[in-house]
Amino acid sequence: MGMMFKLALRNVFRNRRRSLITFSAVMIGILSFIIMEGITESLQNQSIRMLKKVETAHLKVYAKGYWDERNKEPLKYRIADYAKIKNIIENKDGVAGTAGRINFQVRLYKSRNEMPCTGTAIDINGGDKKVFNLADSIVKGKFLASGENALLGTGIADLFDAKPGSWITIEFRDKNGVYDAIQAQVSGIVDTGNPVIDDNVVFLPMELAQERLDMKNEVTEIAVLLKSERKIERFKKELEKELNNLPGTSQRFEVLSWSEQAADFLAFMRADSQGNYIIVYILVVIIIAGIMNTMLMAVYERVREIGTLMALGMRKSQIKRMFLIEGAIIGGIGAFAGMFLGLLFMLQFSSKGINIASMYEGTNVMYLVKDYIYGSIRFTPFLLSFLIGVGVALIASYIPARSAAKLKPVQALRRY
Amino acid sequence: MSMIIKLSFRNIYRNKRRTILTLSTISFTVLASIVFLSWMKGIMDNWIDNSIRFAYGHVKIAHKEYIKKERILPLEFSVKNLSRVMVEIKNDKEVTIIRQRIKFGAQLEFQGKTSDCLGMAVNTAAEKRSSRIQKTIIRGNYWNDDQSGTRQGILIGITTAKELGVDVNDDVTVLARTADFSPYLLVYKIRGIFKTGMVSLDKGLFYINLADASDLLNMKDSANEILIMLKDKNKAVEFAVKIAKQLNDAGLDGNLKVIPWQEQGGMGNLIEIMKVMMGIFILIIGIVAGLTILNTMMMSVFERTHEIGMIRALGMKRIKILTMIISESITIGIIGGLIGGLSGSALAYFFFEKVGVDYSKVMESAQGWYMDPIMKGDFEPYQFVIGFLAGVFLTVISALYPAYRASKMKPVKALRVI
Repeated sequence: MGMMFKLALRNVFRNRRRSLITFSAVMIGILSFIIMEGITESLQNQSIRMLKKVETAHLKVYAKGYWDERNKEPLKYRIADYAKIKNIIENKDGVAGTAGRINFQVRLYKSRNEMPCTGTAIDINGGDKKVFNLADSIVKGKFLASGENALLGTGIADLFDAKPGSWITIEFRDKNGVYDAIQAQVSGIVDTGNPVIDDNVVFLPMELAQERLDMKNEVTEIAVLLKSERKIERFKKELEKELNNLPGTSQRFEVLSWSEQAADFLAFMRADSQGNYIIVYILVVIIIAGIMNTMLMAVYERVREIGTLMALGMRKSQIKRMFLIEGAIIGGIGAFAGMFLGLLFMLQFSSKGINIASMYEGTNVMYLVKDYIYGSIRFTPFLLSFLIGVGVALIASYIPARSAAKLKPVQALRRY
Repeated sequence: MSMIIKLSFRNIYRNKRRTILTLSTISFTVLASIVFLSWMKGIMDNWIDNSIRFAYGHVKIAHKEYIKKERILPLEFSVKNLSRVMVEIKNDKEVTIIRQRIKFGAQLEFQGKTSDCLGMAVNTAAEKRSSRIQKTIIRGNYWNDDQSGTRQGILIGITTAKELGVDVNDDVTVLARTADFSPYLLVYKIRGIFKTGMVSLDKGLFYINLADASDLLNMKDSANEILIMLKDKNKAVEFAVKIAKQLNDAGLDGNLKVIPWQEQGGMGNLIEIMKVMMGIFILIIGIVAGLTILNTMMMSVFERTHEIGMIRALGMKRIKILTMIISESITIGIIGGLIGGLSGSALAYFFFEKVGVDYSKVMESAQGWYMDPIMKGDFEPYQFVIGFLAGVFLTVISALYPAYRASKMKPVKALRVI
């Protein structure tokens, strides 16, 4: 094996120019894969992280039926005994925090302007800060206090010229369908980077909302943050089972993990990555043709040598292996070069980041990123690059290697 | 000259397997470029076209405050003196259709159920000619040309219809605020239900005709958007500048803004980004394919070192050797370009354009994007030409260096190489 490797290595370096060109092709392919993967991954990863922090948490518990009609934000499906249910969930193993919320349809008025929005009541004393990072997204003013005050997203605030201290009117229907309105003072403006929130949501303190919606001790959802995400599916099943078998209540619940809540968004992400990877597939095909070509040439110009090796007693399988190793070396070196350049890119990308917002100025980006995205250097794409590089080279060298092994020593030696 | 061409043909034939590999690289590259170009063109054009048809027009005239706060649809910032503005633009020979619209926030109510919607009061005849909405009606029907008076009914999207549980001929209540902010309501008969497949339209949108808007909103001789369709969408920018000046000269409201479609919703910027990305994609593919071709051409030159030495010794000039190798590459380029071009065109046309790829699952979350859920490519013969020429060009470029090396060979040295 050692000798075979040495032979293959020598052969690779025998025709340096040819090998160099083949390396470069592999290198560019691997480099584009690493860059593409790095950017896509950081966009998606950052979006998902932000989604969990501002919208989905790890899990959400709803009253059964809510999820199917979530777009209408119905108050029909309520979690009845909020304090008790929250307590049950909070005392389970592995829970880092829980927070109840109420989502309901509102109309927002300020001076002559009005717009339909989503009202979200948050439990400021009951752990909303533990689950969501809304408080960290405040760009003006301060977080909600108890009493008649509200928090607005930047999008809404801009439209209504609202500043901390401005008065707004929030009109809604309570759980019985009765119209009501709250006059509230804007306490602060939040910029989460998630347009669903920044352009649509008015946050209100829970006690106020519960009182005016006639929903004492009731919420529409309880968000759950786990200590570790690893056992999320099992936890979800257990929790659902436990909640649906509580004694003394006929209420039924449904529990949705973040990936179920964000299914549409995840589907979009998958489609987008598929689109990005097409270029990698195309490159792989071209590189296979390139390596195959190089290897065919290598076999072709060494027919006499192969004959000699065979006449000296080298077996067919060894010849084949020799050429496969040669191909793998070409692919491997190309992959290493690509990985090295890729690493340089990723180092830069992870320390300096890329300003996505300025790139997409004024356009409707689907990803939930605020301004800069940063790469993270992970082992998997590099391992994958190496495997792709070598794998592609092996596939491409298989036919030339087989044809080398098929040569008959006598005939091969007769070639000049 | 013909001898050189004959020679290069023979050389191509000599090592068939290698030629096939080179050909497959070239033709695959050409195929991929054609499919890629036509696919991107189809998607982009569909998006641009839909956005123009449904939301932006080629050029939009609106009050500048309205543009800033479009989401809350402030009726007070509308285009007043509509008839005078119309006089200014109507006779321009670039203009094909003028669509006056009033967009307003409203609540639909049916048997206790309500839905917040975007109301769109339109010039039904103009809208029929430029937006495709009348073709997407699945129940009921669009306005006839003689139904431009008041109380001619309402068109609503399928999703809203389902949410409210209404059907054609039901009476829905439309609650809105008039231009002077007083709440007002009118009852309309549902005349039709449309289904476009685009979330942005099917949910939360309804149409009434412009005459009804003056009834409901108390807005006479005004609109908050005027969408102008032009003969040539590429002339939108210059047209906008011209009309802006014209309106100003006519002494009309100085707050009006004239905006070409490229400047709405960041379309122009996004198109630029897409173009740059496509350029980078094609460039990377071109470089890798070029390297592969370079390698084959080099091999075919170096394995003929002896021969080249021989013909040089027999008196062939350097320039002829150069011509020989280059014409070899042109021949391969043409054959590869044709194979890849034809198969790529066939794939782009028969699969990506005729069948398309169904993205309806993904488009569920694409609120605000006007794209058909089944995406289709758009193949045009020029893409074949581009792909073909790029293939030939790439091959010739990659052959330059080997050809140069071959022409520089010294006969004596070359002959010594076996």
